[in-house]
Amino acid sequence: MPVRIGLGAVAGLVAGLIYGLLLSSQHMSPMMSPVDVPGDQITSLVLSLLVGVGFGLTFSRLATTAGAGLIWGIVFGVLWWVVGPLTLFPFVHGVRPDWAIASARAAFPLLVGLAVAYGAFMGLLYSVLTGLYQNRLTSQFVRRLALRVLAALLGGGLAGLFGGLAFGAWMAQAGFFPLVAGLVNSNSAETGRTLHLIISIAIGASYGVLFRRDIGRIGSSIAWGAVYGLIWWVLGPLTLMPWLLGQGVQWNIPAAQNAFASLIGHVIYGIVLGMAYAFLSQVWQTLFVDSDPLSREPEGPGTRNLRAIGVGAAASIVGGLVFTVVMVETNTLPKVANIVGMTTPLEGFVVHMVISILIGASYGLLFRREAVSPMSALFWGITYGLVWWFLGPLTLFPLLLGQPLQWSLDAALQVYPSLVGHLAYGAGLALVYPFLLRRFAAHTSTRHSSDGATEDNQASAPALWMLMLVLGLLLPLILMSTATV
Amino acid sequence: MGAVVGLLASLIATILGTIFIGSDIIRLLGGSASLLVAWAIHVLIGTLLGVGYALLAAQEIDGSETAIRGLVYGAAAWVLIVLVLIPVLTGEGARWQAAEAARQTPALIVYLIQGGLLAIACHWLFGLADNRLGILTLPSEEMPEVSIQQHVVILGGGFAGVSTAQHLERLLGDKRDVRITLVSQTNHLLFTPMLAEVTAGGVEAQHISPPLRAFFRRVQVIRGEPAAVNIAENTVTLKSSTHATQTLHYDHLVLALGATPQFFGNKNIETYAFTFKSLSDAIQIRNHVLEMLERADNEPNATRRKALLTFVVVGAGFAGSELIGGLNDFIRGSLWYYHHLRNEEISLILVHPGEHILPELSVELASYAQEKMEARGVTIWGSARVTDAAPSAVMIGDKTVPTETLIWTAGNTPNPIIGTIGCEMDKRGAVITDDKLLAKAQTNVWAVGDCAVIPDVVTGKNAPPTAQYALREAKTLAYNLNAVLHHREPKPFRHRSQGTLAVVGHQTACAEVFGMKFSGLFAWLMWRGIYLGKLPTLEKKVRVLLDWVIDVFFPRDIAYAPTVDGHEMSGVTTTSEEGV
Repeated sequence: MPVRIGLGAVAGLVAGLIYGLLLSSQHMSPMMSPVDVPGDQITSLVLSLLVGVGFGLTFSRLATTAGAGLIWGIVFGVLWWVVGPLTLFPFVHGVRPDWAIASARAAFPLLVGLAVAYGAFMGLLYSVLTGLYQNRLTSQFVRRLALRVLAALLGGGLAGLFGGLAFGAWMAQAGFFPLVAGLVNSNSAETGRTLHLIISIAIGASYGVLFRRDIGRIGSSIAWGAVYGLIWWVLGPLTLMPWLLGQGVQWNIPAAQNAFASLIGHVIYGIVLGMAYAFLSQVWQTLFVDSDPLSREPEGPGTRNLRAIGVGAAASIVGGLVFTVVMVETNTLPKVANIVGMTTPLEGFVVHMVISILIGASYGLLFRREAVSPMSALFWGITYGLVWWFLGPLTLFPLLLGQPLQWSLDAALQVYPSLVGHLAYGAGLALVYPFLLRRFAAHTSTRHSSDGATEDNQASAPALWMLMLVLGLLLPLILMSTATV
Repeated sequence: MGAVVGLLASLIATILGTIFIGSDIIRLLGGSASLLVAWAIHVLIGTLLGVGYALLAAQEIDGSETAIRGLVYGAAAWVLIVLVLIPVLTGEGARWQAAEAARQTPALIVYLIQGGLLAIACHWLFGLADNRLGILTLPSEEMPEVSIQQHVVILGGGFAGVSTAQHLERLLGDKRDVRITLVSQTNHLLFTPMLAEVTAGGVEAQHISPPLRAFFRRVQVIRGEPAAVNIAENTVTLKSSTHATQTLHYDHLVLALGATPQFFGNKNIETYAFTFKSLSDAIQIRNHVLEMLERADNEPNATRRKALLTFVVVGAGFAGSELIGGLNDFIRGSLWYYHHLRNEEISLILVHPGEHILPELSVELASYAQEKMEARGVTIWGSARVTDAAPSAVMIGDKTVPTETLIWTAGNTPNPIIGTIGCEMDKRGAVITDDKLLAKAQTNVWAVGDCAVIPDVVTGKNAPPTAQYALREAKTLAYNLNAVLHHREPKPFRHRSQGTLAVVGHQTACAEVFGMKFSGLFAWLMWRGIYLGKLPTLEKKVRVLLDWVIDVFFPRDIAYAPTVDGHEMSGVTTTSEEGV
């Protein structure tokens, strides 16, 4: 425990120092301090130290890998944003906190700074320090680590290429490539496209290196990817890109509003990256690492997967019916019917249920090993529903209707009720899924592990669930224009 | 526990909310203008959320990231309750438009606090209850053994015994004070309707024999054979394949021991005839038939070759008729491998004492079956009996037929162990039961299947010894056992036959289903469809289906099958006759 606190304090202090230097270089206030006076670095550093100790006391146990450290650091940053700037700091200023959206909007720069620039860095640094403390750097260890990192770099790079191609489709449509080309003093779309793919591959490679020990199956990797996309939205369009273009960091509401389309692009990029990386990783593991017959499950993989698909499809009927309520209330069913060239609500209902069943089947397949308990099944279901909010009404739905992609803040706010529907769908599906699966598990696995489900790589799942909800539920509300509220 | 924690968490969260941002937050949370009503609604919802969390989190008492789970739970609850439920119930309409949702963020913070507190408190209390007090229920598979009060022992691993155990296990559910033990001579259930297909090379032997352990969650399976039953002391003595003995005490005993072949005291027939009751029988007959073909192909003497190519099956019930139909296809279909043999040299003789084969079917269908078989080369000797047998000949009536192949399906008798138990029996040696399947004059000995005489209240006659009846009897017996174990009244056995099916040769069958008669290819497809559906376990269904598909494209395999001597202790099987 003292070591953890000590390492947490060091990580918090170093992160606070760098964070402070970064902000000073951008002529921004310290932001760690409740006293909003530029130059009050001592208070900021003391607070950084205390926050680091807090991290060491609470989440450090979970920061067992670089990826886990990063993600728990961000969660800690978000929580500190709620506890500090939204609750305690107003008291210091003699103001009663109101937890209203206007206050959250005013504190948006702090959210970005504390979550990504401070929290993520602190968590990452903490996990690196812990790794150095716990492992002796023998030549064998370094060689083995280097080989694994190389494999993760290659896999991540390839997965990043797939994600970059998906994101690039929108960038081409929005005429974004010349802007990217500006990073190398060019305005050529081709240069921008090439640069975009290089960046995508680099981010993908970093994804592999950071999360190689955290990523289990494709289902959870989708969430890891989406959250990593969110991180790179902050690091890219809001931080590095404007900085490199000489505009300084843009942690403000107008810049974030302007970059909202890019946020959806980053999330889609992350989803594709996560899926592709986990798929490649699984293929590699199965072919070359983990084909030991001793770990075989009582039934063949075909039966298990078919059952998971069937149970997911059956459970999705409940989720689909719950979602229908939202669709009826918001009169969306005729639009859904348009996908197949029909118009009536009844036809829309049939199309909606078919889509629901297909997504439910994919949930069963992708989260068979992740949904190890009723609670994890529920939260993965909600997360998967959220992922489909990005993929469905914001991306595939307009494409299927022959319209251009609608990756804008206005479009996202317009389909906010659909977000509630997607979350309810995911919850309904996931509440029924383990219940239906249990009768099979009781038959096949009373004396063995339950249907091969494993709790490996599940320790960081709550952090992912939370950040996904911040991304989907809260961010659009914070970024919506004051006129709308 | 969850309700109390939920109540306290909602109280603390609302108090914190009131301290920070005033009492308006309570009106927002409760959806009422009245502070008291809104507060009561919110606390009630909080209590229910606590119950929900406790139910969901019961298996996750070791979660170290508990507080974050709680925050996520709180956020999800905010969406469901604040954005949807409360406004809908108060008639405002849902608040799922972004602008409306944005106004509810103070409530989101309260729900986050509430969720976090709820999770931490549940985590702590569950840990306390589990580790210190030991009162938390563990998942069922980790449950420690409870004291067993009742023991049901089922003797026999055929349709009747296995089905009784399956139904009883399902009826008992998680009630663990009743123990079920199934004693079987083999570790698999033999699906006898397809046994003739094994002999004829249509399906692999293992594909019609699902392992017994695949059927059960908690039934204890013992591979053994009853050596003695003492109904006065409620004990069964078992002997295993190594002749070691084991004694079981029972509270209820189920006799599902099936039947063995009956030779009516003729030792020569018993010595020289093949029986057709088990997998090893089927494989031995197949190997013997192939051996006859191999030897005949290399036999220059026409008389001896003729004897080698003569196959006699005795008994024209389902087993004998289906077997000879299948053998006829197999032998004649394999001739192209044997270049010195001609179709005319092959002789398959079905001997039976009645006027018609397949007495279980109507005369019309039985005649159809007989015509089809004869047209395909089977010789049927009706009103005839096999009187004696020798290594190279069979006496049919007073006529001697040179052959080295005699297969006996003409008679069955209940397992001989039945006669030693002391229950009341009929002249065949079967246990007489009442209509509730309880052995006559006994209070805890039940009988089912071929080894029992069971009155059927529907027909007023005794239930026939078919698989169809055995399965229905087993279901009633399981119900009655469960009823008696719970001090309820058992019910009488009643079943109306759904019909019968029989294959008579290549793509030809006869069927009587619900009074309707079918024959030919349609009946054959019906036979395959129905029995494939009834074959236990999906895996075996798929394997048999693949065997049938392979059979469409490739010729019969004439390689000897590996013998299975020693794996079935006495060849006694249960319930061989067929029915839907």
